[in-house]
Amino acid sequence: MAKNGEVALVRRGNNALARRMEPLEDFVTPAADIYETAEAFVLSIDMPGVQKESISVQVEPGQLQVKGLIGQLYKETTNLVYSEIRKASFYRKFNIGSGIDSENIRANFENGVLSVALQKHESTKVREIPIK
Amino acid sequence: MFVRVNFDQPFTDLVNEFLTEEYVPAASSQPAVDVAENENQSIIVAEVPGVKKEDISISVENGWLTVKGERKAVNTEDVKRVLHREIAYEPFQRSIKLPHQVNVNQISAELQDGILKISLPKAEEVRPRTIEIK
Repeated sequence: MAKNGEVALVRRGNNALARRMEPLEDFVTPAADIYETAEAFVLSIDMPGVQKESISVQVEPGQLQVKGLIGQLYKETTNLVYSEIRKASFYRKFNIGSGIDSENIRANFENGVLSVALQKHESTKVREIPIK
Repeated sequence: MFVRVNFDQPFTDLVNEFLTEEYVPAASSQPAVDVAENENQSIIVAEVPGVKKEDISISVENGWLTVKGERKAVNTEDVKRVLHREIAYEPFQRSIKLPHQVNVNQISAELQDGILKISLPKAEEVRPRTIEIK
């Protein structure tokens, strides 16, 4: 179902093709949503189990990189009987275009989701034109 | 699985200037789960990023633990346009067979940074006991 420009969802599976697509050995690409508000572009990135202090958001011309290291989920004395959770840190790169004010980027981390708000340049904001 | 992003598509809502990869992850609505065990208890861990405490319910019945919940989208009033979606905002439910007899009154759960941890203390009968030799 697609409405308001949304892209249809595809279910996650686990297959050889998916594993080959990972760019770096020990990192997982986190799922991300990208949406637009009147003031900014917002990236919403899933990083469950990551410690806030270990998150890094780096900006350079044309690119944004996010990284988050997972903490230890279990004590050493615990045996893992069944596992689906990937024990790897997160890493992902995004291109950022010229419509963004790179001095004005805010990030916050809540409920395991990193939210990065990229303020738009004044010129890219939507302006209401008054009708006389 | 990973989804191929079609950069040749002429329609702008499918070409995303933010993406660097050809293949992007697509999130499942059912949370990934681990089951761990030590002498005193079993621990069930579920990855539930973006889910609030009040939107999760945990119940135990007939030897099964059920975790139900829903991930709701945030800030929907401010959103003008969704440029790219990989995350599933849907209800989820998973049931796990309890690995052993559990002291039901002492089951506890905590939610932190998108990780739900449920502790299931072992009932007296199933805890390891050392037998003395007279």
